[in-house]
Amino acid sequence: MSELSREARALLDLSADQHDPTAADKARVREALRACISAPSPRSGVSAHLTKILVALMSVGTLLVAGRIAVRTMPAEPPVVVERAPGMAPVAPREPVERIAEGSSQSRLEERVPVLERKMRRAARKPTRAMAAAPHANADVEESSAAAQSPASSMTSELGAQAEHVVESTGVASPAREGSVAPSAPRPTSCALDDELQSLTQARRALPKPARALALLRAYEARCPSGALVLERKAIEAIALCTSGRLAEGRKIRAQMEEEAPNSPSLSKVRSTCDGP
Amino acid sequence: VDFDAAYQASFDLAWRTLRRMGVPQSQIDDASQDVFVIVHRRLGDFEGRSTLKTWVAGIAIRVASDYRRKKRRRGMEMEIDESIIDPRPGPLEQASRAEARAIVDQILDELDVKQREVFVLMELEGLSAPEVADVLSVNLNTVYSRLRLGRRAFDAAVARRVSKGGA
Repeated sequence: MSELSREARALLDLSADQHDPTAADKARVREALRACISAPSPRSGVSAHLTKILVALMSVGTLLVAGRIAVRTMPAEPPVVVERAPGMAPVAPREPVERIAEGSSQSRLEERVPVLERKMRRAARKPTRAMAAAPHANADVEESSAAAQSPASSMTSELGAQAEHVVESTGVASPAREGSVAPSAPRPTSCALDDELQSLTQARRALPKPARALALLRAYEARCPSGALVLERKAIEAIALCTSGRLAEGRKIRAQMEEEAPNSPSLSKVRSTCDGP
Repeated sequence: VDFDAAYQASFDLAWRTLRRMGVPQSQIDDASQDVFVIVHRRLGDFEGRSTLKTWVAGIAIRVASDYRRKKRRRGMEMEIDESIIDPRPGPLEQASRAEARAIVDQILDELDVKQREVFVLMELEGLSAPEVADVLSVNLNTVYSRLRLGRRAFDAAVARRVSKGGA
């Protein structure tokens, strides 16, 4: 078997420890996990089994029966609830199944079941917040059969069950978007990183039309005044300004960046745009 | 194995694998969290047929794969600071360690995903071929074949950069 070239090996050696996490990374994720894993039991066979029964029953249109089983059996065990840790992504507030049972008259339950059915169908059609937290929930649909043999592959069905379990536990797929179900759902106070990233990607793609890019940046800035990607925003703004001929304004931002983050990789592109090659 | 011990023993491996399999810095916390949520949920079923290392590496590979898929679905490109980084490499000898990492990341992004998985696990993580076969559930010959192709592609990409840098 051919070995790597000397240059390639030197490059790998040079970068050897550059992908390592810091102690702070390790502690931060551990803290986030503490917040997101709220039950000590790693797995509940009963709940997984129940989920399978629910899904099967839903597929033959007997969700009413499934709802009764859920209400009867769920309170017997604490659900494992997976949520995003604070600051990672907005989390839909939970509405335990027990609350559905609180009103407890059969007619009330039956009123709720069509709503639950609609939400579960919606959840099946598109990824929910819960599924976003458990990305494998939809992976098994797209993965090849070879992947199904992977030692990690069993987690796909597990996570599918997990996501469904969260849907069960919450009773809603995405309450934040369902004002009638959870009118007091808290709105995120700051933008999710994904949203910020998407906004900046759009602005960057619009750079051939600097005015458009600047308008997108203004909208992003208004929406996410304390966004985490300030440097990236400034870089794109400076590039847009300089390419549209507003060199003084662009260079002013470049100077700010040089002061705030002289080692930012974005600076080289800003410099080459605002100062020429 | 209790969860804390598993976390302490395998966090670094999971983090590095996610990074090297293309999860951007902005999503690395979420992805690491996903890996260990799975570890937490599945730990009761972990029977020790594979080592903790290969088990967690397999989970990280799958999580990274899902992040790439999500990124494709959303039409997102590389995260901003990586996408507007000056792509022209300096001479390798002068490259700082961070620049070397950026170059390695760029080259890994150019590799076929299956070759990349084997290359990352063997060349960078130091797993043996049988361990990688276990992680990816492929036979040993497939591992060696992907490693050979991955090395060849990596070498070619380095050579292109060296010649550009020297030009």
